[in-house]
Amino acid sequence: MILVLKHYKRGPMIYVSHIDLLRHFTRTFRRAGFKIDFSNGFNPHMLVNLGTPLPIGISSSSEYLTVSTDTPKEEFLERYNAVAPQGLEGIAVFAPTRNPNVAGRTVAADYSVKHLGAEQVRREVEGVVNLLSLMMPVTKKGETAMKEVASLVNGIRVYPNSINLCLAAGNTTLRPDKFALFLAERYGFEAQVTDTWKYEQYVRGENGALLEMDEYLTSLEEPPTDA
Amino acid sequence: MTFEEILLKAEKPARYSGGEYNTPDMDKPCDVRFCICMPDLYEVGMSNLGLKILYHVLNNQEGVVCERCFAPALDFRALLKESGLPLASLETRKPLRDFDMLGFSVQYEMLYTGVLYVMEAAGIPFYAKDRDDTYPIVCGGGPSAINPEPLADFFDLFMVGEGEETIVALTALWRKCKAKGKGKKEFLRLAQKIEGVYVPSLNTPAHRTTVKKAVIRDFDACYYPTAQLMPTLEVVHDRAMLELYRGCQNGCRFCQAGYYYRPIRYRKENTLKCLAERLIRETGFDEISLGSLSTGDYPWLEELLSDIGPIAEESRVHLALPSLRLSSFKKEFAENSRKSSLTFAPEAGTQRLRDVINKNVTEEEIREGLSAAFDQGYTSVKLYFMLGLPTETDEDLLGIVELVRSIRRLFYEKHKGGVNITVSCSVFIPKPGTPFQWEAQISREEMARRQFLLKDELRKVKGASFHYHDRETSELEAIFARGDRALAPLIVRAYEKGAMFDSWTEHFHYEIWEEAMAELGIDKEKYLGAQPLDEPLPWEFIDIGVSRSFLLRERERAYRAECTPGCDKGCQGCGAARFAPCDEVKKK
Repeated sequence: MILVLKHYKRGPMIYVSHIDLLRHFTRTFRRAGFKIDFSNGFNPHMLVNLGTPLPIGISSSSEYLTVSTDTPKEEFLERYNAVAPQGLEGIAVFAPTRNPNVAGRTVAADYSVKHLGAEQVRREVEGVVNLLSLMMPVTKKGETAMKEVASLVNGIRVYPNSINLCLAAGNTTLRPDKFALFLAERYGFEAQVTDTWKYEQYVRGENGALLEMDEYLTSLEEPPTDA
Repeated sequence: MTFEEILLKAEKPARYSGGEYNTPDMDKPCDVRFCICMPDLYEVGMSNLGLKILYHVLNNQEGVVCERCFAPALDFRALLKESGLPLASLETRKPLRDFDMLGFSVQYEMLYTGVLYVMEAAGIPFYAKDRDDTYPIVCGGGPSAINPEPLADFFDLFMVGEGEETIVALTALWRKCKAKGKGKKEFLRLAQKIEGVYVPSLNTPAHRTTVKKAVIRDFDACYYPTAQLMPTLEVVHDRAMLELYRGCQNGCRFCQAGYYYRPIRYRKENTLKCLAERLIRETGFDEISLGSLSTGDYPWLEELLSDIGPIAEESRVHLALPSLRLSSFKKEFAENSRKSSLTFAPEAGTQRLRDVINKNVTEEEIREGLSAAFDQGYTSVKLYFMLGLPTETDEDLLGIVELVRSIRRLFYEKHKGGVNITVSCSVFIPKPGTPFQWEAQISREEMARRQFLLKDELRKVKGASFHYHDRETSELEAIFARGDRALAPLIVRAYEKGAMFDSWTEHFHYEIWEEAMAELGIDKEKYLGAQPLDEPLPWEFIDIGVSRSFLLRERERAYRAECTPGCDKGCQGCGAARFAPCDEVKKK
């Protein structure tokens, strides 16, 4: 049976890399006493798949992990949370009838970044979403190159204390912290990227519009039977 | 920059973020705050069993909170400096300066500069005499305490021997002193009465008092943490550790641990079974290492494995058996493990030299052990040897090559295909507390000659690969191993000239040390040469239980190439049973 665990990544856990994160889950599952399926082969490993990697330093209340297990959905969350590390607490569990391919289907995510002074340039900042071309410097392995990012920006809203960004995530990702710093420099405000939250994750719906991950996963569950 | 901002710029921020699962309550009411400092990176320090034990021992005490601090990597140290932040603890980010006590765990000689590195990053003066009552009490411990002298001027006190009880007594004493308004001076005067405590400022080479190492008398009943801290990132030994026993019956004459941790004290099989069950449940590690100085010699190993085996299998936990002796390797031990690679340590290439070092293993036993391993399907063997042992000749070195050849032949008697034989050769370092503590270390030129001889010869053996230790590191380790207080200024000078992380090949620069020695007029030959038998050595005021007369007797037997049977064959009278009942003596 496949279960999808929606969980936080916050507090001290935001500094844990994607590659180290998996170990935290396999150990938590063993503490919880879950029966998890293992791969076959020379070094059998737990069949656990993480979702899209979250850049280091960003908190999230919208992370998803897929696991192949016999543990009933009803018990899973409570038993998991009883032994979960601080910062990786579970939020919800879904039981899709087929593999939802969370990492592969994710296309976008919502983030919130704290700022100082962005409301004074609200119109310009929010207008970025309509630009046909937006070149942003991106540094990889010490080399900086200009990258076209206009198509990776789905939405921007400026609030008194925060900017909400809906950016491409998944196979192509625009990092919210880097993008917020880029906007801040371009429009003259201060982005406090040590306080960046991811709070929603999307797949592409049948009509081409963004569909919230929770809705997508619920749609894959067996419909409740009327008693 | 705030701490959070510099974390985001760090190479591996999880090293400094804390928040590990199984972290004890840091907010409980307390009047003593202790910080265990490891002068090495998180990945290395978090692999240390002593840290795990003492950390939980202290946090179980009422009124005591214990935190941790590891040496920051160079990038993070630079970031701290740039932002003017002092080095702080992992748990509550409290600057080290603000703790009551700091406990440095010094695992071996190459970490000495690491101690200064951590102190400097924390804004703490190196020398104990330069620290007034506003600074924490700085303690040292770990295996290096067997010869505390090179570090004596830096620490207010040392914990010598096993720390579980000493550390509790020390924190309790400080609590009392604090309540009565007594300062560091008074505390140190009282502290030196505690077993295993050495206060260098009150116990000097001119006025010596013997310091008895601390030993746990009832090891089976001694507390052992099962809710061990879960590292935030992958560490060097990323597994749960179960300590089967302390001490070792074999008496290999070069091995410091073999003498330092005597007498032998076993945990009962049933105690271990309960601990193993709890370890699996409370940590979730996918591997448990059954650790000790020689796991194959644990008397009830087979029973233990049949007890824990099914529990481990059910939870899909792998049992690791490190430090198996060739003679104790039994095929059933290897049956359930992944057949990747086996490691054995014959240490010397000929029977004569193995008898000199009292490595009680014969060529026949080596062949039997490996034969069982090859039958099990192993195709890769790692062999550890030591070079530069007392009385060693080229014949002994060529014996290594001959042994490798015969192992190769043994493999081809059974299998087709390739066998990998990795030969790792370290350099002999005469260590305090062993029968070889008086021996000379061979010169670097001689090390090079012997290493290249082996390299050339092993190149001719198909399937064999050869690794050897760095000569300069081995020499420096030998200098410090038998050092005295005159070396403290050397450590400071070398550190100031840029020596740090000396245990990491890429950071080790011997020329810095040589320059510093020249500037201070320190003659390394004093430490590297043979030591006089008729004068007390700088560390001999530390009573490790094993008597000087026993060590001298063992030294003579070594020169006659005579073996001393293991403690399991009968008590050899080393003297350690004066400190605590020896389980091998009791068995008789």
